[in-house]
Amino acid sequence: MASDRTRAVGMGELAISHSDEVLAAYGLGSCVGVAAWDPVARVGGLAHVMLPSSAIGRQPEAPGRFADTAVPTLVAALTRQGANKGRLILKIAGGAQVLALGGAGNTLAIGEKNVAAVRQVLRQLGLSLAAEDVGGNNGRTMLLHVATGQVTVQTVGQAARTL
Amino acid sequence: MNDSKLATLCPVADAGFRRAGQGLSEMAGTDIAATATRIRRLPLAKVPDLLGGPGVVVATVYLAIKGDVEGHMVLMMPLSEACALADMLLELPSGSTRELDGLASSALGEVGNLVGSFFLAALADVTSLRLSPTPPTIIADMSGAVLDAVLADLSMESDQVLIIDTLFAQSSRRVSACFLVLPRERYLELILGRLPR
Repeated sequence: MASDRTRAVGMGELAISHSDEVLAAYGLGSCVGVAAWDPVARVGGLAHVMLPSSAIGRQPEAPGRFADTAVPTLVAALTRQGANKGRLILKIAGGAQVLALGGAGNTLAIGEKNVAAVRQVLRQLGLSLAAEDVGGNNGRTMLLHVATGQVTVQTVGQAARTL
Repeated sequence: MNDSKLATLCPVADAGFRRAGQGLSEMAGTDIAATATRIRRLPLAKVPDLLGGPGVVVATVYLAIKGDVEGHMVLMMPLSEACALADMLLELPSGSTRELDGLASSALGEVGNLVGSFFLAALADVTSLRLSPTPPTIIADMSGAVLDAVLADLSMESDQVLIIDTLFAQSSRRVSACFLVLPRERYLELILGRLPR
């Protein structure tokens, strides 16, 4: 559960931690949380990805916002902090469709696109997922306990579960 | 959008909310007033902080804007306020509604429908634009999770949202909500260009 050692990672942001902090992406809907942790270096990071591709945005200065820039930035930042790319344990959560935008028949499934984009970038980097909790119609809060690497996901009306 | 443009929107919001209040009063069979207490602008990503943070569950009514303008409208409030609003509309003693069940949820949807429809109608009156809402969608979920797809949809353009602080009042009861209006940026210019100076 959340503690006073919890650090919120807002939409479009990413964070790296060495300590016993808990990194938290609160209220993921169509956004995707990407958690990466090295069990040897005991360093972890969390990205709160909003959009699939930086090609459609106009804020390249915010690499955490886009799947194609957030994931490489996260991996590079962890490597600089002593992580080994081959040891990284990667887990993702989110990519739901909480709201059908534009009314019936005009749904923009941005969540699905975000999940697909994250998977594609991971493949390109030669990384695979250890666990995931994606899709559906409910919001999620994703927590990465940096000391242990444990990732928990909370959904409204359900008990928190470990990924 | 500068402050004087925001000021020109105040009478539009007042007119729309007054009519929404009349509609709610007819629906409930008791006098209910809807008031726009403040209009301001904020980055959309900051909106969840107004309601306790992105992980906090809120009640939301969503309507899309169709016609000459494309965009989104969102009526959002804490769950406790939504339950109080349902009590007000259904003429139940305060504290009767404890969750957004079928009846409370459809009452909330009608509030969003009336506020959204009459706000758009008031805006259409002064801009001569053709504006209509889609039917309402009612959701109880984390505010961040409700709004992030809206933000993703708009982020190529503008992430600024127009927030109308809203107060519903009936006798001594008061319910506060946030009404968010998010036209696509190119349409925002169209609307502002047609507002009276």
